[in-house]
Amino acid sequence: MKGYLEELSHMLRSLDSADRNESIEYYREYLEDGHFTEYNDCVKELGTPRALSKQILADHSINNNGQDEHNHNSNVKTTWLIILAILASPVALLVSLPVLGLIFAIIILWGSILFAIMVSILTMGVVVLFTIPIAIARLFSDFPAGISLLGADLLVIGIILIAIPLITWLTKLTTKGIKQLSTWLYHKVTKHNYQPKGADQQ
Amino acid sequence: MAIKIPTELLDGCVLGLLNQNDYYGYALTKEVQLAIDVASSTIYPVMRRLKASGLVATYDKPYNGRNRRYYQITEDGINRLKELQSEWLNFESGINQLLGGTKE
Repeated sequence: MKGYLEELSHMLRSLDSADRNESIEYYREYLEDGHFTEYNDCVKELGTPRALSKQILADHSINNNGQDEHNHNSNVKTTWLIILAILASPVALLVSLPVLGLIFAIIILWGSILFAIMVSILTMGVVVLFTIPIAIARLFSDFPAGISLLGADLLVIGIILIAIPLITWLTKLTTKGIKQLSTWLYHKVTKHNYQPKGADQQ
Repeated sequence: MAIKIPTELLDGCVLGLLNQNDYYGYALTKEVQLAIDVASSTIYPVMRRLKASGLVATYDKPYNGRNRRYYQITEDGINRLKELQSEWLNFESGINQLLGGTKE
Protein backbone atom coordinates (compact mmCIF):
# COMPACT_ATOMS: atom_id res chain seq x y z
CA MET A 1 0.00 0.00 0.00
CA LYS A 2 2.84 2.34 0.85
CA GLY A 3 4.47 1.73 -2.51
CA TYR A 4 1.18 2.26 -4.30
CA LEU A 5 0.58 5.61 -2.60
CA GLU A 6 4.18 6.71 -3.18
CA GLU A 7 3.82 5.98 -6.86
CA LEU A 8 0.51 7.82 -6.97
CA SER A 9 1.99 10.81 -5.15
CA HIS A 10 4.90 10.91 -7.58
CA MET A 11 2.52 10.92 -10.54
CA LEU A 12 0.47 13.72 -9.02
CA ARG A 13 3.51 15.96 -8.55
CA SER A 14 2.17 18.50 -11.04
CA LEU A 15 -0.82 19.21 -8.78
CA ASP A 16 -0.41 21.89 -6.15
CA SER A 17 0.48 20.38 -2.80
CA ALA A 18 -2.90 20.97 -1.12
CA ASP A 19 -4.79 19.12 -3.86
CA ARG A 20 -2.19 16.39 -3.96
CA ASN A 21 -2.23 15.83 -0.21
CA GLU A 22 -5.99 15.77 -0.18
CA SER A 23 -6.25 13.07 -2.81
CA ILE A 24 -3.39 11.03 -1.31
CA GLU A 25 -5.01 11.25 2.14
CA TYR A 26 -8.34 10.18 0.69
CA TYR A 27 -6.83 7.11 -0.93
CA ARG A 28 -4.58 6.28 2.06
CA GLU A 29 -7.67 6.22 4.24
CA TYR A 30 -9.59 4.31 1.60
CA LEU A 31 -6.96 1.57 1.30
CA GLU A 32 -6.54 1.30 5.09
CA ASP A 33 -10.29 1.04 5.63
CA GLY A 34 -10.59 -1.63 2.97
CA HIS A 35 -7.49 -3.51 4.31
CA PHE A 36 -5.76 -3.41 0.94
CA THR A 37 -2.23 -4.06 2.16
CA GLU A 38 -0.55 -5.62 -0.87
CA TYR A 39 0.32 -3.57 -3.93
CA ASN A 40 -1.65 -5.92 -6.18
CA ASP A 41 -4.75 -5.66 -4.00
CA CYS A 42 -4.61 -1.89 -4.39
CA VAL A 43 -4.33 -2.20 -8.17
CA LYS A 44 -7.26 -4.60 -8.22
CA GLU A 45 -9.41 -2.15 -6.28
CA LEU A 46 -8.43 1.19 -7.81
CA GLY A 47 -6.51 0.43 -11.01
CA THR A 48 -2.81 1.15 -11.50
CA PRO A 49 -1.39 4.30 -9.84
CA ARG A 50 -0.84 5.66 -13.34
CA ALA A 51 -4.46 5.20 -14.44
CA LEU A 52 -5.74 6.59 -11.13
CA SER A 53 -3.45 9.62 -11.33
CA LYS A 54 -4.59 10.37 -14.89
CA GLN A 55 -8.18 10.36 -13.72
CA ILE A 56 -7.43 12.68 -10.79
CA LEU A 57 -5.36 15.08 -12.92
CA ALA A 58 -7.92 15.30 -15.71
CA ASP A 59 -10.67 15.87 -13.15
CA HIS A 60 -8.71 18.74 -11.57
CA SER A 61 -8.04 20.42 -14.89
CA ILE A 62 -11.66 20.25 -15.88
CA ASN A 63 -12.97 21.49 -12.54
CA ASN A 64 -10.63 24.48 -12.65
CA ASN A 65 -11.85 25.38 -16.10
CA GLY A 66 -13.67 28.55 -15.11
CA GLN A 67 -10.67 30.09 -13.42
CA ASP A 68 -8.05 29.78 -16.10
CA GLU A 69 -9.95 29.71 -19.33
CA HIS A 70 -7.82 32.52 -20.71
CA ASN A 71 -4.54 31.07 -19.64
CA HIS A 72 -2.70 29.84 -22.70
CA ASN A 73 -0.30 27.54 -20.86
CA SER A 74 -3.04 25.87 -18.87
CA ASN A 75 -4.98 25.28 -22.10
CA VAL A 76 -2.01 23.40 -23.49
CA LYS A 77 -1.61 21.51 -20.20
CA THR A 78 -5.27 20.57 -20.03
CA THR A 79 -5.18 19.28 -23.58
CA TRP A 80 -2.20 17.07 -22.79
CA LEU A 81 -3.68 15.78 -19.54
CA ILE A 82 -6.92 14.89 -21.27
CA ILE A 83 -5.13 13.16 -24.12
CA LEU A 84 -3.05 11.19 -21.58
CA ALA A 85 -6.17 10.31 -19.58
CA ILE A 86 -7.84 9.03 -22.72
CA LEU A 87 -4.74 7.08 -23.73
CA ALA A 88 -4.73 5.42 -20.29
CA SER A 89 -8.12 3.86 -20.88
CA PRO A 90 -8.34 1.35 -23.74
CA VAL A 91 -12.11 1.66 -24.12
CA ALA A 92 -12.05 5.45 -24.25
CA LEU A 93 -9.13 5.31 -26.66
CA LEU A 94 -11.07 3.29 -29.21
CA VAL A 95 -14.08 5.58 -29.02
CA SER A 96 -12.07 8.76 -29.31
CA LEU A 97 -9.45 7.76 -31.87
CA PRO A 98 -10.99 9.77 -34.76
CA VAL A 99 -11.29 12.97 -32.71
CA LEU A 100 -7.79 12.49 -31.30
CA GLY A 101 -6.53 12.21 -34.86
CA LEU A 102 -8.29 15.46 -35.72
CA ILE A 103 -6.72 17.20 -32.71
CA PHE A 104 -3.25 16.01 -33.71
CA ALA A 105 -3.86 17.10 -37.32
CA ILE A 106 -4.87 20.59 -36.15
CA ILE A 107 -1.83 20.84 -33.87
CA ILE A 108 0.57 19.76 -36.64
CA LEU A 109 -1.06 21.97 -39.30
CA TRP A 110 -1.11 25.01 -37.05
CA GLY A 111 2.43 24.31 -35.86
CA SER A 112 3.80 24.31 -39.41
CA ILE A 113 1.91 27.47 -40.41
CA LEU A 114 3.15 29.21 -37.28
CA PHE A 115 6.70 28.05 -37.95
CA ALA A 116 6.57 29.37 -41.54
CA ILE A 117 5.27 32.76 -40.41
CA MET A 118 7.87 33.02 -37.67
CA VAL A 119 10.71 32.20 -40.06
CA SER A 120 9.45 34.90 -42.48
CA ILE A 121 9.26 37.48 -39.70
CA LEU A 122 12.73 36.57 -38.51
CA THR A 123 14.11 36.92 -42.04
CA MET A 124 12.42 40.29 -42.52
CA GLY A 125 13.80 41.41 -39.15
CA VAL A 126 17.34 40.41 -40.09
CA VAL A 127 17.09 42.15 -43.49
CA VAL A 128 15.81 45.35 -41.85
CA LEU A 129 18.59 45.24 -39.27
CA PHE A 130 21.22 45.12 -42.00
CA THR A 131 19.68 47.61 -44.41
CA ILE A 132 18.92 50.45 -41.95
CA PRO A 133 22.62 51.45 -41.59
CA ILE A 134 23.03 51.17 -45.39
CA ALA A 135 19.95 53.38 -45.90
CA ILE A 136 21.24 56.00 -43.48
CA ALA A 137 24.64 56.02 -45.18
CA ARG A 138 22.89 56.36 -48.55
CA LEU A 139 21.00 59.45 -47.33
CA PHE A 140 24.21 61.44 -47.60
CA SER A 141 25.37 60.19 -51.01
CA ASP A 142 22.09 59.57 -52.84
CA PHE A 143 19.21 61.14 -50.89
CA PRO A 144 16.18 59.83 -52.92
CA ALA A 145 17.47 56.22 -52.90
CA GLY A 146 18.38 56.45 -49.21
CA ILE A 147 15.01 57.84 -48.14
CA SER A 148 13.05 55.23 -50.13
CA LEU A 149 15.15 52.39 -48.68
CA LEU A 150 14.57 53.80 -45.19
CA GLY A 151 10.85 54.06 -45.95
CA ALA A 152 10.76 50.41 -47.02
CA ASP A 153 12.53 49.38 -43.81
CA LEU A 154 10.01 51.30 -41.68
CA LEU A 155 7.17 49.66 -43.60
CA VAL A 156 8.56 46.19 -42.84
CA ILE A 157 8.97 47.08 -39.14
CA GLY A 158 5.33 48.18 -39.16
CA ILE A 159 4.21 44.88 -40.69
CA ILE A 160 6.20 42.91 -38.10
CA LEU A 161 4.66 44.94 -35.25
CA ILE A 162 1.16 44.23 -36.56
CA ALA A 163 1.86 40.55 -37.26
CA ILE A 164 3.24 39.60 -33.83
CA PRO A 165 0.12 40.34 -31.74
CA LEU A 166 -2.03 38.87 -34.49
CA ILE A 167 -0.11 35.59 -34.35
CA THR A 168 -0.22 35.48 -30.55
CA TRP A 169 -3.94 36.07 -30.64
CA LEU A 170 -4.47 33.36 -33.26
CA THR A 171 -2.34 30.90 -31.29
CA LYS A 172 -4.35 31.53 -28.14
CA LEU A 173 -7.58 31.10 -30.06
CA THR A 174 -6.40 27.79 -31.49
CA THR A 175 -5.16 26.36 -28.18
CA LYS A 176 -8.43 27.37 -26.55
CA GLY A 177 -10.36 25.69 -29.35
CA ILE A 178 -8.32 22.52 -29.05
CA LYS A 179 -8.82 22.51 -25.29
CA GLN A 180 -12.56 22.87 -25.69
CA LEU A 181 -12.58 20.07 -28.22
CA SER A 182 -10.64 17.76 -25.92
CA THR A 183 -12.67 18.73 -22.85
CA TRP A 184 -15.79 17.91 -24.80
CA LEU A 185 -14.20 14.62 -25.78
CA TYR A 186 -13.30 13.85 -22.17
CA HIS A 187 -16.86 14.51 -21.04
CA LYS A 188 -18.12 12.38 -23.88
CA VAL A 189 -16.02 9.35 -23.04
CA THR A 190 -15.83 9.52 -19.25
CA LYS A 191 -18.14 11.92 -17.42
CA HIS A 192 -21.31 10.51 -18.85
CA ASN A 193 -19.81 7.14 -19.14
CA TYR A 194 -18.92 5.73 -15.75
CA GLN A 195 -17.21 2.52 -16.63
CA PRO A 196 -18.32 -0.63 -14.91
CA LYS A 197 -15.94 -1.89 -12.28
CA GLY A 198 -13.07 -3.75 -13.86
CA ALA A 199 -13.51 -2.40 -17.36
CA ASP A 200 -10.56 -0.04 -16.95
CA GLN A 201 -8.30 -2.40 -15.11
CA GLN A 202 -7.18 -4.83 -17.75
CA MET B 1 -23.99 -2.82 -16.58
CA ALA B 2 -25.22 -1.61 -19.95
CA ILE B 3 -26.55 1.75 -18.71
CA LYS B 4 -24.04 4.51 -17.93
CA ILE B 5 -24.76 6.75 -14.97
CA PRO B 6 -24.64 10.50 -15.65
CA THR B 7 -22.78 12.80 -13.25
CA GLU B 8 -25.92 14.46 -11.88
CA LEU B 9 -27.43 11.11 -10.91
CA LEU B 10 -24.24 9.93 -9.24
CA ASP B 11 -24.18 13.19 -7.24
CA GLY B 12 -27.79 12.52 -6.32
CA CYS B 13 -27.08 8.93 -5.23
CA VAL B 14 -24.27 10.08 -2.93
CA LEU B 15 -26.39 12.92 -1.51
CA GLY B 16 -29.22 10.45 -0.91
CA LEU B 17 -26.93 8.19 1.12
CA LEU B 18 -25.49 11.10 3.09
CA ASN B 19 -29.00 12.28 3.87
CA GLN B 20 -29.43 9.06 5.90
CA ASN B 21 -26.04 8.92 7.55
CA ASP B 22 -22.56 10.45 7.58
CA TYR B 23 -20.08 8.24 5.76
CA TYR B 24 -16.32 7.98 5.30
CA GLY B 25 -14.91 7.46 1.81
CA TYR B 26 -14.50 3.68 1.78
CA ALA B 27 -17.86 2.91 3.40
CA LEU B 28 -19.60 5.35 1.08
CA THR B 29 -18.02 3.80 -2.00
CA LYS B 30 -19.00 0.29 -0.94
CA GLU B 31 -22.53 1.45 -0.12
CA VAL B 32 -22.91 2.97 -3.62
CA GLN B 33 -21.47 -0.20 -5.17
CA LEU B 34 -24.04 -2.33 -3.35
CA ALA B 35 -26.72 -0.65 -5.44
CA ILE B 36 -25.00 0.24 -8.72
CA ASP B 37 -21.97 -0.99 -10.59
CA VAL B 38 -19.37 1.80 -10.68
CA ALA B 39 -15.57 1.72 -10.43
CA SER B 40 -14.15 2.45 -6.96
CA SER B 41 -12.20 5.38 -8.33
CA THR B 42 -15.30 7.28 -9.51
CA ILE B 43 -16.34 8.39 -6.01
CA TYR B 44 -13.40 10.67 -5.18
CA PRO B 45 -14.12 13.13 -8.03
CA VAL B 46 -17.78 13.15 -6.96
CA MET B 47 -16.90 14.03 -3.35
CA ARG B 48 -14.50 16.72 -4.50
CA ARG B 49 -17.16 18.29 -6.69
CA LEU B 50 -19.86 18.10 -4.00
CA LYS B 51 -17.53 19.63 -1.43
CA ALA B 52 -16.39 22.41 -3.77
CA SER B 53 -19.99 23.40 -4.46
CA GLY B 54 -20.84 23.35 -0.74
CA LEU B 55 -23.28 20.45 -0.94
CA VAL B 56 -21.32 18.37 1.56
CA ALA B 57 -19.02 19.26 4.46
CA THR B 58 -16.27 17.13 6.02
CA TYR B 59 -15.08 16.51 9.56
CA ASP B 60 -12.36 14.25 10.96
CA LYS B 61 -12.90 11.64 13.64
CA PRO B 62 -10.11 9.66 15.30
CA TYR B 63 -10.15 5.96 14.54
CA ASN B 64 -7.48 3.39 15.45
CA GLY B 65 -4.85 6.06 16.03
CA ARG B 66 -5.52 7.88 12.79
CA ASN B 67 -8.16 10.19 11.39
CA ARG B 68 -11.11 9.21 9.34
CA ARG B 69 -12.70 11.87 7.16
CA TYR B 70 -16.48 11.84 7.30
CA TYR B 71 -18.78 13.48 4.78
CA GLN B 72 -21.92 15.22 5.92
CA ILE B 73 -24.72 16.71 3.82
CA THR B 74 -25.32 20.49 4.13
CA GLU B 75 -28.55 22.52 3.87
CA ASP B 76 -27.67 23.29 0.23
CA GLY B 77 -27.04 19.59 -0.31
CA ILE B 78 -30.48 18.68 1.05
CA ASN B 79 -32.08 21.24 -1.29
CA ARG B 80 -30.13 19.91 -4.24
CA LEU B 81 -31.16 16.36 -3.34
CA LYS B 82 -34.84 17.39 -3.37
CA GLU B 83 -34.38 18.97 -6.79
CA LEU B 84 -32.70 15.87 -8.14
CA GLN B 85 -35.37 13.62 -6.64
CA SER B 86 -38.18 15.44 -8.41
CA GLU B 87 -36.20 15.64 -11.67
CA TRP B 88 -35.57 11.94 -11.43
CA LEU B 89 -39.28 11.13 -10.86
CA ASN B 90 -40.18 12.99 -14.04
CA PHE B 91 -37.40 11.35 -15.96
CA GLU B 92 -38.21 7.91 -14.58
CA SER B 93 -41.91 8.04 -15.50
CA GLY B 94 -41.02 9.31 -18.98
CA ILE B 95 -38.53 6.51 -19.56
CA ASN B 96 -40.91 3.90 -18.15
CA GLN B 97 -43.57 5.00 -20.58
CA LEU B 98 -41.21 4.87 -23.51
CA LEU B 99 -39.62 1.60 -22.55
CA GLY B 100 -42.98 0.00 -21.92
CA GLY B 101 -44.22 1.31 -25.24
CA THR B 102 -47.28 2.85 -23.58
CA LYS B 103 -48.81 6.25 -24.23
CA GLU B 104 -50.86 8.19 -21.70
